[in-house]
Amino acid sequence: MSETLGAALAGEYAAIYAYGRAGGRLRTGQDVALAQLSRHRTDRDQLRAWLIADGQQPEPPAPAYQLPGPVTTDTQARALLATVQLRLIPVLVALLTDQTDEARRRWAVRAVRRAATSAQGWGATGQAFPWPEGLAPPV
Amino acid sequence: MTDRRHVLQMGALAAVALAAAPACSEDADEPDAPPPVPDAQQSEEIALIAAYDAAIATAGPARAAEYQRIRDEHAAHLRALGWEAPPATTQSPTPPASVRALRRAEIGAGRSHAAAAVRETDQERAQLLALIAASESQHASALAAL
Repeated sequence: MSETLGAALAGEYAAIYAYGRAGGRLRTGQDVALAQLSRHRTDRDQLRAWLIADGQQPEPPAPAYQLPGPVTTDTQARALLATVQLRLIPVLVALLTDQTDEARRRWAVRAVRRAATSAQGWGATGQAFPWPEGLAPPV
Repeated sequence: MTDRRHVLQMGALAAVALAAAPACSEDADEPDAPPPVPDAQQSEEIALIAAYDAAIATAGPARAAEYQRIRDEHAAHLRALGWEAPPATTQSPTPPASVRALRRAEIGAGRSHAAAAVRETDQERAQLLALIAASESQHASALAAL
């Protein structure tokens, strides 16, 4: 039973929801947001497939997610996407604590790196150890 | 018989010498202490720090500030990887690198740290290496935007 796969899947669901909410408010970069949304759908499907391969039933997404604030302007939409990407990092990097399959580990590291660059692309400040604000880093 | 005793004494001396060796190597003032050897992951960071130090020296103020920020993040990586010595002391002078060369170096280091994260069996270190690789992805993007 892997809790980290389920947590990563929950993170991807939340990210997909956030892209849906933020996408229409972006003044520029909609194409980037659409490409990233498509990537998150692929990642969601991959995590579901691994859960099923491990004999687990993937949880469905929540009907809605609480957003950190209103999303009516371009600035707010960018801040939401930056936050969502940074919040994916802890659940993605946690896969390295219990996944031993090399392909899954490689996937996890790639996903962590992508989340960090996407967050920066939406305006997050660069960090020596990219991590969401307010959470204790693992290192 | 004498020879055998002599050999035994030598053996005892060697044992003492071996036991004393770790204490000596911890003494920073000991001139004979061998310098610590960085591992592959630490070496990547040391080389990047040297490259940024050289680039900062010749860059304009705006670019130098960005290089300094990235250089400091590499210094944080190096400390987290367990390297305590000042990174630049043993480096031979590095010629200033172009933005493109720095970006290539970031991509290379990121790849190497990512591969190490995949292989690493220690959970904490695997996560650390993945975050370092993620930071280096950010650096490569930031340099591309300069």
